[in-house]
Amino acid sequence: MINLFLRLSLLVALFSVAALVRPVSAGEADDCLRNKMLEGYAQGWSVRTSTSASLKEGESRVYSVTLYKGAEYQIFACADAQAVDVRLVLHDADGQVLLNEDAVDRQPVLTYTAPATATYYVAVHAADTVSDEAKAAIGMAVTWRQSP
Amino acid sequence: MRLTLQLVLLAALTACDAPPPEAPPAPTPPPVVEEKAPVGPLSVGELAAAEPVALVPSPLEMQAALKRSGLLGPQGLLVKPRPLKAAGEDHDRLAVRTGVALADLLLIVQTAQTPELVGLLKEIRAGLVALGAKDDALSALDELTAQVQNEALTRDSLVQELDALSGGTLPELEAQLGPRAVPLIRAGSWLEGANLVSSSIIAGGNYDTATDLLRHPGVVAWFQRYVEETPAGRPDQEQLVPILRESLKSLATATAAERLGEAEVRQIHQSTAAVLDLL
Repeated sequence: MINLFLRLSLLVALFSVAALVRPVSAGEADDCLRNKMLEGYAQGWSVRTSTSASLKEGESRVYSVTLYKGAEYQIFACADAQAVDVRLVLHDADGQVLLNEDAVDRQPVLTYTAPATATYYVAVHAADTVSDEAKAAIGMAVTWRQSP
Repeated sequence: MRLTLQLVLLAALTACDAPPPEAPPAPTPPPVVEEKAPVGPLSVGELAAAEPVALVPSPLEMQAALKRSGLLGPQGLLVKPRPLKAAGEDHDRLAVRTGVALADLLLIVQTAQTPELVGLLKEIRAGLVALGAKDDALSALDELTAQVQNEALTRDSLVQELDALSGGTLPELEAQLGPRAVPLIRAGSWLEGANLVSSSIIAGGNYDTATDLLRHPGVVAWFQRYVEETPAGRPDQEQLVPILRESLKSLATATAAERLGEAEVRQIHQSTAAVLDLL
């Protein structure tokens, strides 16, 4: 009975109105994200939330995240095949770059333990897509666990 | 015979048009890896202009932070039963209330008796039905409720299921529930969590921990944006929205302080209670 709700969310994605208007390949990003969340449970991660965006090359989406001092966070993204390279960047409240995932891939991951409870910002960049017109579906999740 | 001759001629002509045999392929050059442009800092103005979506801490995360601070007893957070007022057709109120029930369920799942858990699951279901959730979402909730009733799940498994509901499935329900409902469900969960955490700090008199537990300015700013977008003139919202607006204004000040002390914690407790009492 591993995560009835994550399995259910596949159904919701398939049958919801959103599925009709989102890119056909959005399911690929969603499935990847769901699998990563399931795998995370086995390693003691809990899910804060997940979200998604549809971005063209060069576009970004910024999220604000309040991170707790002493907890370990893993922030990961999954993009569909329209994306070639997706970057995740963690900024502090002043906009300074704290972490920058710079591998060329579609599934970037950041791991961070916050030194203080504060607001941070995660920017998801569609750094490269298969063409100028392509819109990549990118899912992102924030997971957390007690620091070892 | 004539046909055969034509076919032979055609074959000969086709053969003349055929390309010469290909030369052996040249060795493939190694793929060119493009240099990435460095990612620079963003100014505070750029961050604000990006209108960031807030990813709000979950009730379990708030509880874990409280535990790290040594303020959580073995019985967990003391969630009080909350007599609910009729919500009528007010979807905003229903959404906030559903979020409160979800937070309560997550926070008591390890310690509560089965009927209490089933009661909260039914409340969440009723909230989701009224907000427009479809059968596929509800059937999974029904399946889970049946398993809780039959005690077919360990509490650890149930925590995981509810965590997946809150963190993984709820955001995907936005298409069914509309753009306001999911953030307001989150607001309800956060308000309940902040209210319980501030209660624990006040009860323990340990205000030194407050900054680590309740300094959440980005969260409150995000909820304020939603409340400010509430269409004016809906009579069913006359009571909730002004109080929510005032409470969030007060919470914005208290949760943004560089260091939170007793005054801020009491302000957070009072402001969250003012909204929760309306539900």
